[in-house]
Amino acid sequence: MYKKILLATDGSKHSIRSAEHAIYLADSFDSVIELVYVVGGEKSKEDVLHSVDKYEVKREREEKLRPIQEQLENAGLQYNSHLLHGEPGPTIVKFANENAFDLVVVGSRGLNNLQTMILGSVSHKVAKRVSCPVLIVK
Amino acid sequence: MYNKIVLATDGSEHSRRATENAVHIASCTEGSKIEIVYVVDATHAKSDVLSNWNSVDVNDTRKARVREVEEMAKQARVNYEVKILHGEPGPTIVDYANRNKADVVIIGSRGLNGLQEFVLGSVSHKVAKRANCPVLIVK
Repeated sequence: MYKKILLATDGSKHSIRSAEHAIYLADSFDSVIELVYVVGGEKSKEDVLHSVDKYEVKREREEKLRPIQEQLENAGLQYNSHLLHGEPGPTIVKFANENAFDLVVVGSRGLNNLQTMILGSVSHKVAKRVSCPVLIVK
Repeated sequence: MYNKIVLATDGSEHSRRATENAVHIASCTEGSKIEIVYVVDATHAKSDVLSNWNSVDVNDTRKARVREVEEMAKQARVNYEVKILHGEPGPTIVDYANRNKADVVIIGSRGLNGLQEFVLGSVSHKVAKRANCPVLIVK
């Protein structure tokens, strides 16, 4: 049932916990994990302005994915990494819907009501617009 | 990892799909148990009683809504238990899941649009926000 799992990550603690869940499910169902890291527009500007050259930027982004990739490797799972550009919510939704996933695993930052209203919760957007089941991990 | 699975159901098409997912997840953890939670909210409780003459019938219609879900769990040979709770759906499910230390909550989403959600409030969103454990939202 869950053959193709999308794991959205931002390199935070929450995404390490979501990775644990994705690994458990992938292990039980023999599924392939597609690891997705989205570089937002704002972030991408900042990254470029703050670092020496574009190789440095690329390296830093890859470093964000590193801990999760290690987790996946240690679990001995099949996975692919994707670095996408755009606003996190819509970008994950688009990627998920275009590639016919069976399950999306996403971490929740646990914002309060006001923060959610102003910032918008990525996990809520994803849960609302993705057509497959979404597992939100705290 | 998922020993205690709380499956929130309202007898709709979405909760059928949620059940399929619950059964599937239950099958990957040995000794897991699905707790099928059906929440009777105040407005339903009133209309149920008004449209049924005696309280025995009321319980029957409620059970009928859960029966299909129960049947699916039975066929898949997973452990399950049915709990009928009273209250407002969102907070009641959250409260139940947190008090009973559920490992995962599985809930169907009705797929409201932005305006409907703003006015009515999405139960699945509330649950996803307030439950302490991971929440699987099924469309």
